[in-house]
Amino acid sequence: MKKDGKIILIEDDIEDREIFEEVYNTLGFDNELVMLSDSTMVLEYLKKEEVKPFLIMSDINMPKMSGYELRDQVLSDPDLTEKCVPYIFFTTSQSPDSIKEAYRKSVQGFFFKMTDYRKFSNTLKLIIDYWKEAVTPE
Amino acid sequence: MNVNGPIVIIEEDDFEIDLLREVITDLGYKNPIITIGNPLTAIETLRISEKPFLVLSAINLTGLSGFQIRDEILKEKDLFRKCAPFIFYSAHATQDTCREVFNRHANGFIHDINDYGKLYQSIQLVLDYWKMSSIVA
Repeated sequence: MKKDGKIILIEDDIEDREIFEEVYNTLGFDNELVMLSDSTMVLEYLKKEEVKPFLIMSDINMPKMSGYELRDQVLSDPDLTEKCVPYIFFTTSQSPDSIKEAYRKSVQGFFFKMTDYRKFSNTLKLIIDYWKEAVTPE
Repeated sequence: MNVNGPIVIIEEDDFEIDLLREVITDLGYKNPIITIGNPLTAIETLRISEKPFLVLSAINLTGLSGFQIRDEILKEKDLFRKCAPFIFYSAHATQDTCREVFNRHANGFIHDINDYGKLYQSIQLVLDYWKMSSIVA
């Protein structure tokens, strides 16, 4: 079932990946965490039939292909778009323009990375709890 | 999104409206609540209202369904931005309904609202989640 599917983090920064993994591991969820560091490899991965993500969280500022460009590519494929719900942006970028842009891309959330460990942990738990509760396309 | 803005409820059943109001108030949210009981006036009301914190819409409505209302919103870029996040709810959820919800770029979907405990929990998650998320237009 999809609720037990993978949580996919698209993040080029190794430190951010480590923090995410550390926080995620304290939350006690059973979903496998998959971290992809190269945004240009993501599309191919998501298209695989056996990959049925529970939740996708993407950084925005990444080299080679930005989180927005990647989202555009996902959205250009209706089957992939359906498979990739919820799709959430997770970024340090705080500019209103960035948020507007994210909004136009039809996302299911937009969260800022937090330096406060406790806050980060609470936010991540809320995100996962919320999407465990919501029905999403299978 | 406007965190302090009104919570808009599109629902024609008075009982459901009272229930949702009660839950939102019990959760300690002080946002004003705007209810739209007649789906035919939904678009007009959304156009003139203050920018909402979020919109909660039933799917099964008479005259105009929640999906039809959403389709109208999607045609108007400004209204689309104004009405985010847009959350659908229904008593039951089939996979087809679910697909229809997300094909309309809805930001969430609440189901099984007939169980008060579950409704309370779902609404709490929805409000807390979107309060924390920074989608603004």
